[in-house]
Amino acid sequence: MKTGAGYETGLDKFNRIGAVTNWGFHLIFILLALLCLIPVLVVLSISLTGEESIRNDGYSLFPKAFSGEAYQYIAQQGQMITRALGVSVLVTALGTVLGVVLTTSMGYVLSRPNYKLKGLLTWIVFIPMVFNGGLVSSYYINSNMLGLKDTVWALILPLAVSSFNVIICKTFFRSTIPDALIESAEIDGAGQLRIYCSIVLPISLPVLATIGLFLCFAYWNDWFQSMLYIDNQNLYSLQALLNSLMSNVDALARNASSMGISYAELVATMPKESARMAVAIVIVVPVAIAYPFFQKYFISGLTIGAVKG
Amino acid sequence: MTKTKKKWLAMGAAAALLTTALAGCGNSNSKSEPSSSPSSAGTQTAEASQSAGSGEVPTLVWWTIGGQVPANFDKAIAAMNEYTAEKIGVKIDIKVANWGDWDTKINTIVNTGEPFDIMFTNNSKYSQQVNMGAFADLTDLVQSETPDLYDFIPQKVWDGTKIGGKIYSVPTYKDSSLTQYWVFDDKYIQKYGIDTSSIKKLQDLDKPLRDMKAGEGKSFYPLSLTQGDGFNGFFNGYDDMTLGLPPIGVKVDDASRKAVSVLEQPDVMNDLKQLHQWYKDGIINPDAPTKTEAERARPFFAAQAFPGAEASWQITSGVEKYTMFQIFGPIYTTSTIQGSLNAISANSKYKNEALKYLQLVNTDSKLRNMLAFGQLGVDYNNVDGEKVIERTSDTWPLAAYTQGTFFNLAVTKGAPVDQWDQVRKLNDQATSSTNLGFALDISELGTEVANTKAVWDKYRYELLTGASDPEKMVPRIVAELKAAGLDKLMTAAQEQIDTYFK
Amino acid sequence: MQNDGSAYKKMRQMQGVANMDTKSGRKRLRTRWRTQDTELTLLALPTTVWYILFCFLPMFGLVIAFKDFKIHGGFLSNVIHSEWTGFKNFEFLFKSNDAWVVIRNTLGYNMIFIVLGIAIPVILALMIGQLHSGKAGKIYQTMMFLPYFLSWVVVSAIVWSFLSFDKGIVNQFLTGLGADPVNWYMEPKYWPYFLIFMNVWKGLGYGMVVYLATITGIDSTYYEAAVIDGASKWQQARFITLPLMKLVIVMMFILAVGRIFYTDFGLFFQVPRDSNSLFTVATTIDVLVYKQLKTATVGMASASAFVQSVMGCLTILLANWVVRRVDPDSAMM
Repeated sequence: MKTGAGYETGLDKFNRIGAVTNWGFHLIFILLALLCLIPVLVVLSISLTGEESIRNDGYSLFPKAFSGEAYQYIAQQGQMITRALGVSVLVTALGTVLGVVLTTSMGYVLSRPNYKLKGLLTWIVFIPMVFNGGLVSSYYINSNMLGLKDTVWALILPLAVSSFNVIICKTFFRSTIPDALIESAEIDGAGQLRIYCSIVLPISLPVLATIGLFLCFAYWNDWFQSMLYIDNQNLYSLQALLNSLMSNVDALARNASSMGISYAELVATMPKESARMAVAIVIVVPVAIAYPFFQKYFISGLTIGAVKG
Repeated sequence: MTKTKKKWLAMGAAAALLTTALAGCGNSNSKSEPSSSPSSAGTQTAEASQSAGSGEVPTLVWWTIGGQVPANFDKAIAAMNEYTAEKIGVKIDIKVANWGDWDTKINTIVNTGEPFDIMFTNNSKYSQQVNMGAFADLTDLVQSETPDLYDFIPQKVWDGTKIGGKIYSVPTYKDSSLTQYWVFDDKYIQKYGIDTSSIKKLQDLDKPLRDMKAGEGKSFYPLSLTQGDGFNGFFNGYDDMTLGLPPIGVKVDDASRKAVSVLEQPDVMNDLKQLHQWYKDGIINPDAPTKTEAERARPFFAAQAFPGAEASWQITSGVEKYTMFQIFGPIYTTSTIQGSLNAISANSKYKNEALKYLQLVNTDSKLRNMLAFGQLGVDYNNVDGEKVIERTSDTWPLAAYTQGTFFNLAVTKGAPVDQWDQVRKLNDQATSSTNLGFALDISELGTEVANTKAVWDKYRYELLTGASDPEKMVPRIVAELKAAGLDKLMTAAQEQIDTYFK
Repeated sequence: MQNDGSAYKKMRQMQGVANMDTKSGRKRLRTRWRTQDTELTLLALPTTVWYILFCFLPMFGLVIAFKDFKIHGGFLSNVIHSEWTGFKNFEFLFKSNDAWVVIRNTLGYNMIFIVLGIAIPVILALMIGQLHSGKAGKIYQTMMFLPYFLSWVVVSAIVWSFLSFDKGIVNQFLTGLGADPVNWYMEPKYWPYFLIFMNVWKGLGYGMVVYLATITGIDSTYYEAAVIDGASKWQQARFITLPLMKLVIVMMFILAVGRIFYTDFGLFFQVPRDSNSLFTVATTIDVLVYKQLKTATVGMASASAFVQSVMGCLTILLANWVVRRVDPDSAMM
């Protein structure tokens, strides 16, 4: 079987799984991929189905009565949605860069076995993993003391570091970067910042891509920070927007009794199910486009040259 | 510059507190008290920074509930501010918590002591927030500062907002009494010859619903219920003392005010059995216990309403004609009055101004309409002065019921012109629950309330949509509630009631 | 076995080197402060400051769990002036009738999630690299990532569109076949499988990333040496790839164990739609606490978080201790 990827080296070609196994694997992955794709298709289908049709015919994989109503709604709300998309992109980009720097620098420091304060820093990283001061006090610190309320920084800073990522990072550095490499650089008189920037980072692209990916997705998926820290809804991210569209409907139904006669009127102003699903599609699409960019670093068989030998 | 300095001071205070806290955990509690005094000094400086310049028109922060804020929101608010600054020298900064986020957001704001002046609240939070000390006592202030407002709202309604005999909020005087209606799609009334005048109780619905089911076929559910709502108004006969836990209540007309286990009452039991029978016979939709969104058009439903309300339902659901009839009420209970309240922060510097603003909302039609409908000329147009308006957009996020009275609010074009007079008439006719004015103080009952509510949550959807068999389940639910502290709650409730009405 | 000897030996040698290194490292710990240490401290400074601001400063909030929280002005004075109540805020946690069911569910599901959450992504990561067509691998992987971006509310809506009684795709299919429709949301027997499936399904793409990156980072000379020694694909995976992934796998395991008292609220609350029938199979600690606390005070909320933290801390330390016993190099601390 020839692939578009070009000819492999003789050794790689020799060292391959058999054709039957290959097709078996393909089959498994095709099944898995379908399992993951079909639900998204259902979302797409609902977003393209008229409310009337869902009520009469039920849900289906392909819209029975096609309707662009939901996307008209999206277009009407265009300003709001593009602004939310802008916020999401900005927050994701800034946050990922900042987070990667903070995470990998700490990860690198913790991976140095001879570092004197390693024990202390390990505890600093470990304790927040299990203990946190809780919502109320974090909110107080972030909004009142640090003044982050109603700024994009409230969406960025609190999520920049996670102990989980730091520990993954540290483990990667421990297992992929030989101490000898660092030590020889130290003997050559290189400072730690230089070692970190010009030796460690360049040979750790898979790690950077992994951490970057995790951060990127955490930022993209987050709605809680927006909900909590943003009063000015112009600064809502896309997921926050979707989440409030979805939860508003539920919340109205749950509080029906305290609204008295106003309930029916309020429910009528809520966006329809198809419109909400259309927003979900708006969230997924950019990701499907952006993902291959990261993926390059996992599958293309990028090897770490400096480790060889 | 001073502001950042104060931030650092405050941060130092937090750090000091952290050490205190750790010390407190490690050793004994007594140690932490003396060391906490220097940090409280830091706090006060931090708070002082909030104070605005004097002599200007103050801007009050009003936290309310609503939907997505549209692009023209700021413009609309600016128009209101222009009007009110001139009229009473107060401006407003309205902050909207989304319907779904309101719970978390408001709790956080109240708990962290974030400055606000006015806050929308309701029976699910009010008594707890008052017990925490979040709201200012308005009992005297409202009479001395805003006598018009005090006179405008009937005494019964004020009584409904009292906690421990004191007023902590301004109620929105709207459909403050509860009137329950049952509504049929007129199509089926004609088709099956339903005589609505003979329907007085749940059991009377049996024949019409069965006829409809038989006539319309297998996948037609004459009584379409949802998870959150169940059969709307099922527990209307019992006053829940704002506890929000239907298994405990006082019968609204019980002169002896006895707190009872509601589920075990024979009338409730009969109704539950009826629901279960309907569920088994396919009159109620099988997915009712997990269905969250109601069908847009329903053949029959129960709802709170007023004469003329069917007009707007017909529009929103696309049904040609609804026929509705009053089944219960009108009645005032503490919970119905507390469905919408606006309280003033205990820490507000502008308590008088806030009250004045709320008075204006309740007495000035122009402001009232701007708050309820948005930007004049964009979101709505006046059709008949401030009496009738026409809405031209559906993006205005604020809900009229959260703000102020309905009785100076314009009627939307198409709705009956005397709509609000009808509501008012219901209020005037309303009887009072014997327990009116009483709200259960749960500050010492936190554990029991948490656990009984969790038990009730475990069964209520299926019980109230008829999916579970009450004869089997009710004894089980009651036994579990008792294990979770139902008896203690009932005793406490009875004691509090007896003291309150002594 | 003999065939893969040399590659294996080479690996063992590398590990030996690493071991010696840490040993000498421990010795050097006792020596004096060096410039490297200063430089490393400076390098770690920004992140340390972040930790202090965003994690350690808010920790004074833990005392709220032991206080009867009241408003006395600003937040700090609320915390300071509120009265101490000892363990009163914790009472509700231990007085619940359903404590047993809920703990069983939480621990049970989490144990399954930990095993499947490691085994399946590791196996798939090993497999996907072996596909002859790299392009196909990329497409599969992208698709497997899609569910991760659907928030649980949306997933809940999707599941509803499949399982809803009268409009659901599954029941339409069943009635199409002439079978009776099933009221899925009221049949607890299916739900453990559904919930496990949903969890694996949503985290599949995400879980693979760490392992893919590890595999990508493995020095290709190991494999070259192994192939020359005649090792089969299976042997390469077993004796080179897996041992080199061990560190990462063990770490993921420890991290997961530390969260064993936490569950994904969306999965267990929003997806089963809070159905009463599913209470015994779908209620976990987080869900029960959420229900208990809907009207409770901030003190009680802090108390439940506190208990979960302490339990998490104990389990993670226990897991780390066990790992250290078995294999000191893999331990996290």
